[in-house]
Amino acid sequence: MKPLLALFKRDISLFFRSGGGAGQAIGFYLVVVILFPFGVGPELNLLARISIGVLWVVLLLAILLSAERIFADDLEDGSLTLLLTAGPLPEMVILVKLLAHWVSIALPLLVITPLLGLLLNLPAGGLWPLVLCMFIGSLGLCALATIGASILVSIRRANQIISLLILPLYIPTLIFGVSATTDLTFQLDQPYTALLILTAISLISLIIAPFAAAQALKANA
Amino acid sequence: MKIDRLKTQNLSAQKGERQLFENIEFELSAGQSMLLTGPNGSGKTTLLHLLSGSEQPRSGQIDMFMAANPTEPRGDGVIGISHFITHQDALKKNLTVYENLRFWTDFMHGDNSRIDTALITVGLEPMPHILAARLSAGQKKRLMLARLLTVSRPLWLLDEPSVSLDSEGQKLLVKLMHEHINAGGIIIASSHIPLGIEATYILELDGGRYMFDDDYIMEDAAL
Repeated sequence: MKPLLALFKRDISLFFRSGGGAGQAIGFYLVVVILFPFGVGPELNLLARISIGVLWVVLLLAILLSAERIFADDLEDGSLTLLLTAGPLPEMVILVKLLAHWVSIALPLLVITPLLGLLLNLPAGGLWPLVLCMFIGSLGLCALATIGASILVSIRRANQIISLLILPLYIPTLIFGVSATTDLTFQLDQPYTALLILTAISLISLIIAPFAAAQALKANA
Repeated sequence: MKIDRLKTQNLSAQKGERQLFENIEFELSAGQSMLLTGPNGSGKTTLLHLLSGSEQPRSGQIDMFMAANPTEPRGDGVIGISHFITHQDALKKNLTVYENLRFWTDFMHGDNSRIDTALITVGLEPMPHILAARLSAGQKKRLMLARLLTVSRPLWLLDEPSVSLDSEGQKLLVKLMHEHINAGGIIIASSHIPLGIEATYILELDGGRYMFDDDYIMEDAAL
């Protein structure tokens, strides 16, 4: 456990020390969410209707655009070679890096969601369903981002290509994420169906990602 | 973790379309060392990558025999058995000298209590809390060498280890290598210049051929 814990701590402290760190992630969320009401206009009903979708898209974009960071720095300075051969199983190493990425990118959003919800006139009672669904969905999104990043690890500045590659895989999470949040917020019929499907997608992604990424990184070595 | 011997069979590698070497076979026992020489692009670094497990050979196999069970090859192969010093430093610019060493020591199941003495040995003890970004190339190399001291690994794979070290640093490197050999370790190093240790074997990679020791041709790949 100690090697993996050391890696987890290292990845998180590297993220928070480099290039603005958490401020960068939170800044991104704030900018997008503050701009939206100005673009849409001062109609509270309209904002309430789109708020859940907007917050989901922001989460998805943030994870998509930062996917490259998961492996790029470690590849550049040669750390990746050692990470994959000198310590624990590569699959475990990748899982830990995935979780560290989630803590760096997705967790800040979950923390400031109450503030963002206020800005977007999130429906009453919508906060906890949103945080719960984004918590579950973001883990799956990070897992898929890890697969994309590992396949394109040897290409520099690959963010756009990674985005194109994993975008189709993000659509199911987005659809079921938004509908799970809506169902729970408004307590529609069978409010848990979409949530269960969302959870299933995330769990499957989380299980597949370490193995897929380990193979991809081996092939790219 | 003690090693008994390392054995390769029919080891071949290629980069893209180009054949680097073919059918390399050698066996090194505990306390032996091998120097890799040859022109640029002849496959020295690739051979070290194969031995570290970070790249897969096109064909052939590498077996490690541990002292605990010298008759059977190690189940995990080459993974987690070696130190690999490459031309890339594997140091994080935003972490301090101490944090970098601490991370690799923890990650590689090393001994935390040796960090302070290791920093003294490599001459970095006055600066444990400065960022790695501010180290010179030679100081970075010394910090990489400190890893050899905090984590015990029987096999050292050193790719041009003397590059960017000053004369003091090179002496230190020779001393560390001697100690490792005397303690029953194995070293495989690539270098253009003499490293200052008596290598048991010299393996010269040269455009697909390879030669051992006194130009004794073990294998002449038909290319």
